[in-house]
Amino acid sequence: MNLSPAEFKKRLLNGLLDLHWKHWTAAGVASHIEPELRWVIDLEALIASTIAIGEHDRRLLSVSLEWMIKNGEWVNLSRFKRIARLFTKPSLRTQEPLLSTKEVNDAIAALRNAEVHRDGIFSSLRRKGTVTKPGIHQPSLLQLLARALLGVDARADVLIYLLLNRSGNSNSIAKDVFYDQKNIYRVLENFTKAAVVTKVSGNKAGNYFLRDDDIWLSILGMKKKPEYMNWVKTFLVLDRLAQAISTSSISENEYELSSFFRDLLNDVQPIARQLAITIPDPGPFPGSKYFVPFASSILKLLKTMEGHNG
Amino acid sequence: MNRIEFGIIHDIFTGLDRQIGLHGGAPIGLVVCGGTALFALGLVHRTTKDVDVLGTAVETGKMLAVQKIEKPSGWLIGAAKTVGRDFGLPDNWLNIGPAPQVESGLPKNYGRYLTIYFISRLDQIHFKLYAAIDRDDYHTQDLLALNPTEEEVETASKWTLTQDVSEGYRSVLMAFLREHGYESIASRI
Repeated sequence: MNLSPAEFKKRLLNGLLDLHWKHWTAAGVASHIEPELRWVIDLEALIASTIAIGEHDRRLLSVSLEWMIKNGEWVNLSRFKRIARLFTKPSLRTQEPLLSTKEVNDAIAALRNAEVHRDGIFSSLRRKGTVTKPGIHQPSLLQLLARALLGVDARADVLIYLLLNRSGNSNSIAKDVFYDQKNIYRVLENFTKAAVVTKVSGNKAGNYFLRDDDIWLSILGMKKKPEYMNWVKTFLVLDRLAQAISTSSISENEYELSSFFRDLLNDVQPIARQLAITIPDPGPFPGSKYFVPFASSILKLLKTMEGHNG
Repeated sequence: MNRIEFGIIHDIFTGLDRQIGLHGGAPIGLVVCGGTALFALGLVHRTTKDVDVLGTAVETGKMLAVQKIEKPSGWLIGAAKTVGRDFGLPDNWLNIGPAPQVESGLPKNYGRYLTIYFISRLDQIHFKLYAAIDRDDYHTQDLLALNPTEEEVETASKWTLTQDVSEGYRSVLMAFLREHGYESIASRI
């Protein structure tokens, strides 16, 4: 396969932006893109990632801001701050974070529907009235439906995690849903008291199980479970790729890109495994030769996430 | 563990240059000897397990001196480690050794940070003779590939005697010279 860094950049950014449009369309943004139906959307991850890649599509940034101002009540601010911290760490490759502190603060202001400045990310805001209230009964908006039922706090995210992943302990769940471990432990203990979950002692790997999936599906008005994807980790990896490929000193050098791909390998592999995509081992591809195999797998991964397997 | 193919040695050094920049390093000149330098001179085409570094090249007036690397910088270690991973190289592929008195050959620039000085043919003869006495294996083949003149072997022999002053070494050197057709040198030194 012949794939240049320029072609990879174009296809990666197109795929990544389409993925974000799909999620925002499902959340209530009018667009020509089909809404996300397969995966449960993670609002806080989506907001952080959209701002991180917003420079590549000002219209996407604008509608997401409009959505945040209109529907901020659905967003868990403390979870957003916790997730945003991961996006504000500078990358070794580019020496730049995905999000600046100002961008995070601007997003928080939008979510609080506070006075909106006209600088920073808000300079992209064009209120077009293309945002509606989210239809929370869509399977991909399970997070919002659970929040409507249990409140905008850790309980909703723990319920979704257990419903879609079957089991976990307070530590593994906290790491996956990006809450404080003590908070998750308290939620799990309260769920145990309420007989929502069963606690199996002595099983360190997964000691809390949801008692009856079917009852919860019925309560939530769903016939079939949507699929779970850790969007924080997924967007972090894809956004870092987009950032590196948009940095000219890196994107023009296939060796440097290949080396960066090797840095990301351990983060990409769990995502690829979930999508049944094999990321080639770098061993047979020394130096710059790893660029094409890895970049091709990333494009395949994006297509699968978008729902195109061709 | 993989050996280093000389066909990609310039890619490896270019990669090291990029990684030095990414690891926050500063421009550096490394003086390289051994098989890598022989390859750069077009004299051998075998593989090697490491790149032998004598030290850093330091400008002293009109001369370049080789300065021993007492303790490699963190950024050089980090950069070499990443390049080792990227090219599937053996651990410690960048072998930083002691710096004897040598003059370096023409430098090759690999980017903003890294300049490599491959040691000259005459220096190679000195090092290869010394190594061949110690271990009569591929070093002897490398020495013969350099096609040294009698005068060059004599100069190199005298230098090796300053590196190891023991009687044992002298007798092994004499045996080596006689075995390889340099009886007259053996009788003179």
